[in-house]
Amino acid sequence: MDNQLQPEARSSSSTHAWVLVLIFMFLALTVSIGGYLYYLSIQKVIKDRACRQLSAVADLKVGQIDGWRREMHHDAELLRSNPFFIDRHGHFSDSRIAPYLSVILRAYKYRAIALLDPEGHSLVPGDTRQKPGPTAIDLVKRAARSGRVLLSDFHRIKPADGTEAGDVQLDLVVPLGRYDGQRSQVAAVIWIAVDPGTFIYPLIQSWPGLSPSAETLLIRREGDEVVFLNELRHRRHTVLKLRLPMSQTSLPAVMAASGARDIVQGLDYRGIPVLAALRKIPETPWYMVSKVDVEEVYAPLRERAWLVAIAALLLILGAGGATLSLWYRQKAAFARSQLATERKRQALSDQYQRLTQYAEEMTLLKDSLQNANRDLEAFAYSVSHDLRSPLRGIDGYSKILLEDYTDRLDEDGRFVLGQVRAAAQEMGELIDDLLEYSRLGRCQLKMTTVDMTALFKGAFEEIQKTAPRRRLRLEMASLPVVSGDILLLRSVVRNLLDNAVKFTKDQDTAIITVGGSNGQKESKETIFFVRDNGVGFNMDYADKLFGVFQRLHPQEEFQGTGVGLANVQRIIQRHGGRVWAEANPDAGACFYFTIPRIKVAP
Amino acid sequence: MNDMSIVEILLVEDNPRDVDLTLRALKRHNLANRVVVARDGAEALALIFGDAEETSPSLPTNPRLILLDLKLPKVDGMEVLRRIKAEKRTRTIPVVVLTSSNQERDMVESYQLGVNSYIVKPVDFDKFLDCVRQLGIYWLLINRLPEPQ
Repeated sequence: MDNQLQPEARSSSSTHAWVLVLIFMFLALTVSIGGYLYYLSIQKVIKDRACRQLSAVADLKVGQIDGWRREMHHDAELLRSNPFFIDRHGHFSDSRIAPYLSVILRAYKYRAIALLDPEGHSLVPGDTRQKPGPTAIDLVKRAARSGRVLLSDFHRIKPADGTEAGDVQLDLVVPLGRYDGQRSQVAAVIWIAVDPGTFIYPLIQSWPGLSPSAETLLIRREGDEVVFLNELRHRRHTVLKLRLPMSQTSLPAVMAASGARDIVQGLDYRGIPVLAALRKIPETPWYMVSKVDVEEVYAPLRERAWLVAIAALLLILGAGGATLSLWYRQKAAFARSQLATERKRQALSDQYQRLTQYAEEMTLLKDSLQNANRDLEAFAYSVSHDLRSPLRGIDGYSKILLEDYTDRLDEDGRFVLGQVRAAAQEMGELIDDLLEYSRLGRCQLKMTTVDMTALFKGAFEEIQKTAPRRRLRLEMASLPVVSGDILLLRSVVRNLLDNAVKFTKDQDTAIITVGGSNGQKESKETIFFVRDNGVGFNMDYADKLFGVFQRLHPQEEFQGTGVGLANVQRIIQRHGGRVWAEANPDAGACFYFTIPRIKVAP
Repeated sequence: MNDMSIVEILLVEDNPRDVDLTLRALKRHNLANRVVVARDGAEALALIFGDAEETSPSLPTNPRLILLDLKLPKVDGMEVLRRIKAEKRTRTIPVVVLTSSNQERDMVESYQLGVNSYIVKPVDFDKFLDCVRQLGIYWLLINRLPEPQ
């Protein structure tokens, strides 16, 4: 039984598990992809913002540097057009120039200032701290020739002792000339040493907002190298010293020097990934790089990424949990149903075992009953054969004695022998009746439809023949048909009629009334009665009526072994019916019996 | 018929009292002249079929009637009946079961084996006498048998 149930159930359970695993994997995948897409979108937003910021800063700086450069030129033009230095005859007023240069130096926070002749020789030393170096003199000569204001590039000055690398500065030269119509004769040149640390470096290095890694670089290209022009944020003492080859193409500075513009991503001088905005400073050989570490840019992204990852993980865990709980619930339901099935199966199995046990017991019982029956039959056989034989001897020899030796016996002797014979015959009858009673309990019923009317009539006629001297009257209407063993029922009818005839022997006319009825429609039995007008009996002893060898009357009055009614009861009981009697002494007796009704086909 | 060597009746009965009563009943009706009694089934078979050891004499001819009790020592009456009815030579012998048993089973089995008559011995001696008389008259006087081969 269990072998049929379980494999099916098991396979359905595993199917459930697979479906659940698939659902869980689908959910996890969806969440992961969703999380990743969200991450990408955030990354783009953040990068765009960083790029915009970088571009804005770069543009601002470029504007500022350009403005500064223009301002320098503007200042130079002011000096140039100032008649204070040189009159229209081209003469210098030495005594006033020196203090004026000193005022300018302090006002503009220049490093040094001097008035030189077109060859670079000092005319008026404005400040004794520094003399113009070779670069400055070269520039002065160029300015004197062109008559234009010139601004040098960043360069290092040679200190007086010449041991150490000097400060970085820019030289501004302003040619002064006499005006004679369209041409000007350069008579002198103002040389100004500009300290980039005063203005331009702070300008470059300043960054709007707090950023731990952002910086702006100014570079220029020198052959196959890029030179860093300003002090770096992340590495000290690099101005004009840090040179990196143009072949290092991942360097944003190299990219800028190669002509790249706008936003790029690369590795900066530290080898760290950066996001950079590249610009060219107009009218200069300078390029500008505004950069910020990628790490800093994406710091909020990392944070978000963590959040997204955690959220995705939580979602996946939630989905997993839900799936698991679903699975467990199903498993629990399955387990419950299986438990119930198992219990039912157990119960069935128990019942089956009990039934088998009963069946075995029944078989044993049947066997033992059969054995008992066989024993009983053997016993009955012995009784019938062995008990009758001596009785026949008693009767036979008594008879022989009576007949062959009658002359030697007196009246009393003959009476005694007669009693011996009567007793023997009586015992023979008893044995026969006992055997009959025993047989009735064991024989198989052969059920047929029995016409009770015919049965009673036939029996009555037989009795009439055996008692021709009696006046007997049978009052009987038509009786119902029953289902039963016709031989046994005939015995019942015969016994009851015999009884009625027997106990009416003192009546002038024996009136035997027989009736039968199916009763109510729902009644389950057919009832019959046999009434006589005989001696009746005392109802106090009614229960003894149907016992074996029970007699309610002295044998001298009414013959019989007392087995007849016991047989009647036995037969009726074997048919599933009941038997009883009602009577009053000297008022007749009425015997009732019932036979269970069977459904008669219409 | 007057030949004394011809046995008229073989009575197979183990109870000596029943033997005596039966013989008396036969005598009353002058039927006991040529009766041989077998006390058990084995003796009966020896008388009918002859004995292998020749220790007891067998009947020279078939008896004209066999009265057979069923409950017998050694070989029971039913076996004797079966043997008689199985043998071609003895099959024609009328066999009357004369027994105390009124068991239907015995009756049915006897008739299955081919018994010619089945009589339950009455306890009442008067009835028994009548029974034996009728038996003798019918089987020995009225009934006709084929001549033995």
